[in-house]
Amino acid sequence: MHVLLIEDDQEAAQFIMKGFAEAGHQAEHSIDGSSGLFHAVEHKYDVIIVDRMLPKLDGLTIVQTLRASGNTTPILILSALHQVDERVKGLKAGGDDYLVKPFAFAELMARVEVLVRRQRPANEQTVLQVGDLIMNFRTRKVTRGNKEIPLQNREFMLLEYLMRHAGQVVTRTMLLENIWDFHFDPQTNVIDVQVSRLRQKIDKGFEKSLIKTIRGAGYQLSEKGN
Amino acid sequence: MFRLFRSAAFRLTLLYMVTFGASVTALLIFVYTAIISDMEAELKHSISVQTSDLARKFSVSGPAETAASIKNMLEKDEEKTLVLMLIDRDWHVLAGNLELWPGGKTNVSTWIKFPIGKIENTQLTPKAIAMNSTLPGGYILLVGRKMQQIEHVHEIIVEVLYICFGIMFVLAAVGGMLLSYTIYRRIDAINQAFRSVAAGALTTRVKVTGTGDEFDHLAMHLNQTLNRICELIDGVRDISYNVAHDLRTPLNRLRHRLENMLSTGAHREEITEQVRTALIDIDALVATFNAILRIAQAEAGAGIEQFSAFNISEVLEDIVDLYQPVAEERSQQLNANIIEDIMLYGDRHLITQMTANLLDNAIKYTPKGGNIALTLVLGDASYAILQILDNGPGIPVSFHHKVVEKFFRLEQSRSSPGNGLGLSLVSAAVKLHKGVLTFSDNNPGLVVTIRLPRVIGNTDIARSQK
Repeated sequence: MHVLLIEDDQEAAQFIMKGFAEAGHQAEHSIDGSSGLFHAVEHKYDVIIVDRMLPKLDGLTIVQTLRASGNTTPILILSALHQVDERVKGLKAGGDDYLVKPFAFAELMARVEVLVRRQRPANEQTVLQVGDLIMNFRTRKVTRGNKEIPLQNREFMLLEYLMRHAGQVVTRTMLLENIWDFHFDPQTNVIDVQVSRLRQKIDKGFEKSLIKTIRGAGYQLSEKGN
Repeated sequence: MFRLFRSAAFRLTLLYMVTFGASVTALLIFVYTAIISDMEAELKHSISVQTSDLARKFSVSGPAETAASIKNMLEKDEEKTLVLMLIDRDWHVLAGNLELWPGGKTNVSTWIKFPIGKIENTQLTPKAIAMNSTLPGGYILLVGRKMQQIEHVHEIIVEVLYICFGIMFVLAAVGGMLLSYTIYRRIDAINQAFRSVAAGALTTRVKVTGTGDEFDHLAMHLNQTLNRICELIDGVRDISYNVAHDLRTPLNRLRHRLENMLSTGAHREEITEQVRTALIDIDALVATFNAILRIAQAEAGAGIEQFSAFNISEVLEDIVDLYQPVAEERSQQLNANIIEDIMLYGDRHLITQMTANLLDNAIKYTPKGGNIALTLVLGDASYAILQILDNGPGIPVSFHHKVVEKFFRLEQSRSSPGNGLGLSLVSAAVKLHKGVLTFSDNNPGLVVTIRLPRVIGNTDIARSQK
């Protein structure tokens, strides 16, 4: 994966670059808005991570400029601005995701991977399959092995999201945002309980566990491992 | 002494005086003209009658007889108002009481006005009005009346006019001064209060007289504004003070943890575990900051521009759906009774966070096996009532007003996780939505009641926004 990071905080940028390198990705760094825009236009990246406030050229302007020129590279906006309407502004400008500082690197990584994956042509398939777990959209039925698993509406949505991002780490915030459209910090472990309840239905009685907890990051649905 | 001439009230009074004076003058002029012209018309009428009488006499009996009857008329005229004269073609006066013939000799009957003799002991020259008419044989007859009466009426009216002006001026001036002074006193009270506020005495308030007039309304609005400003200032002061103090504890803990890791003898696994805990500490600090920011935004009224109509029933269903498993995990009963399709105009995210905070609290403080209920009902025509009830330890009545203060935590809950900002955000969110938040006792447990103004009708707006 080829990443462009436009971030004026040198030290923060160093950590992020190190993280991507360790995960085996190729990442480039621009220290200000105008050089960032130059790189974004000159080269082809899989994803661009841009800070909201930058010297020389503001992050939102970069996003708008790229989108106006027909560039469709997925863009993740980083920001110290927490308000929900700031988030809306970022997405309206053409950003694909918005992450508020401070954040865990795992959160950034998970979101970037989801963005890059989303870029592939959307398949209008009626069936999702991970290992022996099958989700049928036409009948709205989920089966594992030959056993039908009854799911409530939100559980279905939760499982669908995990299956669409099979093999990727999804964080608690991503689940809260994408499944419930909630943008807040719950004080209780609501998501963990939701996932563990789903896991009860999906994995109980099967030798192989599909839903894994990734410590310090979130969850992953994968047929590998265990 | 107040500066009379620069006061707005005085200028108004002056304007009033001028307008009033002008209308009185116009009225008097109208009355004057009406009376005078009426009197003149009456004079002219009697002159015409007399002229035709004499003319008839002249044509029947001739000049000598006519002259005699004129003399006779003048003798009988006790009030001395008659003016009569008869001359022949050679300007010889046959009869009459004028020394000189007024005006020219014409062949047509015309009206003339002319001064006659002086009134004794005065400078006045009374006027007369007369008609001269040509009689057969070149004789000319002049019949007229002295205008004393008209002049007298004129004098009276002018005199009345002066007196009226005088009285009006005095009354208006006194009234104006009283009015200016009254207004000035009320405005000055406001000015003085605000001078004092500007000088730093923020607790000064404008005195409300209790008459309920516009000045009282103004004073009340200004006082409300000052109260709000004070609240905001206190809020800012409190928050900076509390942030500084309350963040010391977790920062201190974090510091110790890091120091501990530096110290020799720690195993690798132990360090890893400490780092994990340190990260959790940092996340908690970040959550606290986020909460502070959100409260500050809600209190400052930020985001009102982003308000939109949304279906709070749907939002609550979703939140209950999210929290249900957590409650079940703690063997708590979470019951929801939500009336469908209630619309609210506001910030959906803030209402979500508010409800989540209340459910977080209920679940956190209600013991295992306890009951929690969330209800949304219609209060009256324009309100929705959201209630969250639990049978946990509740909040002592004496602390009901304290718990919404930032960083305030009850003694017994200090051991459980939390930052003391949850209910502050609830309170700020309710205020931003112009609602009312009340706590009451569930015997045992807590009842949180939130009245929120709702949007009446059109549920389609929210559906289309979802």
